[in-house]
Amino acid sequence: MAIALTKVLILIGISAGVVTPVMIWLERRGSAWMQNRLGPNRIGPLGLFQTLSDGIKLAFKEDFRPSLARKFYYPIAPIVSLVPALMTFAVIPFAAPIQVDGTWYSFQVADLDMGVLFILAIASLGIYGIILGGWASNNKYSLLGSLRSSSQMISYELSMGLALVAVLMTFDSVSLGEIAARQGETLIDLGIFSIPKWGIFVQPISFIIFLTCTYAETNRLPFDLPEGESEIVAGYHLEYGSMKFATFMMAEYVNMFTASGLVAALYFGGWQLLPGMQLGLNALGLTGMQFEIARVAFQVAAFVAKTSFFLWLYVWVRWTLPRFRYDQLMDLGWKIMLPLSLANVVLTGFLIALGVI
Amino acid sequence: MTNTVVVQRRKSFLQGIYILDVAKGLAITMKNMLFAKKVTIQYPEEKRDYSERFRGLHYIKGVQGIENCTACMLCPTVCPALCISIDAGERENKEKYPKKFDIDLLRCIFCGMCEEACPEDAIKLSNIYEMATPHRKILHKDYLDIQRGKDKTGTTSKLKGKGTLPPRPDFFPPPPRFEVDKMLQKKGDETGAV
Repeated sequence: MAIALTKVLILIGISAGVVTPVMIWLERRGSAWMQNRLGPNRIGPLGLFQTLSDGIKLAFKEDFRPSLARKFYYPIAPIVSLVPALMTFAVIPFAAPIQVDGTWYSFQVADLDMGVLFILAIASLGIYGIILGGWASNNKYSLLGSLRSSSQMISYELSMGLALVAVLMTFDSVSLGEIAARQGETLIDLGIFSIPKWGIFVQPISFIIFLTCTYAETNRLPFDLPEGESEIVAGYHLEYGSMKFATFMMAEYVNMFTASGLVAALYFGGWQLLPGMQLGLNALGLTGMQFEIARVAFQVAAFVAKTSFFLWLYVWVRWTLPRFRYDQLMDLGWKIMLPLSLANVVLTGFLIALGVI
Repeated sequence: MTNTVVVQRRKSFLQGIYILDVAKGLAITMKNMLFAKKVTIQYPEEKRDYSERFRGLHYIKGVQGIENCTACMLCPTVCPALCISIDAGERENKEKYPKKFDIDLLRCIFCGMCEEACPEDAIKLSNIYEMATPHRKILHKDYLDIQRGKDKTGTTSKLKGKGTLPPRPDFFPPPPRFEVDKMLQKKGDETGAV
C-alpha cells in the first residue's frame, strides 16, 4: 500500500511538476527555434523557469466565472479532464520488475492483467472534461469545440483500438508489462547485431495508425479542431481563465506524456535497452543486487529517452503541420485509418496463422 | 467569360495517408531549427542598427561648445506640429542665439522638416528612439539649458561610447531620460507628471 502510494505520488509529481513545465517550455522554445526565433530565454537557465512564473501569474489571477455558466459543472470540468490524464499512466511499466528479498516489485503503479484495456477505458473518459467544459461555459464556440472534440475522439478511438488489437494479437497479451517484456525477444539475428522484436518492426502499420490516433486523442495539432483558434476562438476552454485554464493545459500535457509513454511501451520495447546500452551495462562489471539496481536505472533511462523522443515529436509535428479541415479529419479517420487498421488486423491474423510472427 | 481550368487532383493512397508529406515537412522544420540563423534581436542588450537617416530624438549641433543655431526661426515656422519654440537673444558680438530652445516631444511627429529647413545645420535628428518616460515634464523641456549644463544633469560625458549616439566631436547629446527623471524627482518638480 505504502509502496503503491509512493509510486502514485512520484508519478503525479513527475508528470505534473516536471514534464508539464518542461514540455511547455520546450513547446515555446521549440516553436521559436523552428521559426528562426529564440523564444523565452530570460527567466532561469535557458528560460526554464518561464513556466513557473507563468504558473504563479495564473495562480494569482482572478478566478472569473461567466455569470450564465453552470455553477457546478463549470469549475469541475478542468478536474474531470485532468484526473483521467493522470490515471492512465498507472499501467505503463518503466522498468522490468526487481526482486528484493524474494518479493517482486514492479515498476508501474498497477500491474493490471488487462492494462491496455484499462488505458482505452480511461482515455475515453478524458472526453467528459472537454464536453463538460464546453457545455457548462454557456458559450456557442465552446459548445462547438467540445462537439467537434467528442466526434473526433470517438472516430479515432475506433482505429486506435483496432490498431491495438493487432499488437495484442502479435504479443499474445493484454498486460503492458508482459508486452514490454516480450519485445526483448530477437526478431532477426544478424550475428553481432540483432533486431529486437519491437512493435515498430513487427507492426509498422499499426504503429503509424496508433501514433496518428494519439495525436487526435490528445487534441494536438494537426488535429486540434476542438481549439481551432481561427474558427471557434479557443474551443472548449474559451471561457476558462486563471488556474482552471492552467488545469486544462496541464491535462493536455499529461495526456501527451501518457500517450508518448504508451507508444514507447507498445512499439519501442518500453524499458528494453536501446542499442549499445547493454554493452555499457555489462562493462560496469557489477554483480548481484548492484547489477539489478544498475539494470533498473538503465531501463528507466531507456524508457525516458524513448518517451522524450515522442514528446518532442508532438512539438515537432505541431509546428510543422497545419490544422486539418474538419471534413478532412473525418475522411482520414473513417475512410483511411479505419479500413487500414481493419486490414492490418486481418493481415496480422494471416501472418500469425502462417507462423511468420 | 473567364476560362475555367479544371484541375484534376488525384491523390494516390500513399499521398492520401500523408506520410511522405509529413516526413518532408518535418525535415524542413528540423533543418530550420538546426541550421537557420536566428533573427531575434535581444532588445535591451542588442539593438537594431538604424540608418544614419533615422529620425529620432533631436539634438543641436555645435562647434567648440557653441551651438550652430542662430535663432532664425525657420524650424518653428516649418514645423507642422508646432512643437518648437525659440526665445532669441543676442551675444556680445551681436550674433543672434537661442536663449531658450524648446521642443515639445509629445507633439513632435518626427517628420524631420526642421532638419531640412535649418540653414546652419544646427538642429538634427539623432537615431535615439528610446523616449519612453513616466513624466510628461521631461518630454517638454528646454534643450539648450540642459545641454549647457545649467540644470546640472552632467550627463554629456556619460553618454559617450554607448553606441546609440552618432560619434561626432561637435555633438550636443540630448540628456538620457532617466537622469532627467531623477533630476525632476529631486526638485519635486513633478506637477506635470502623467
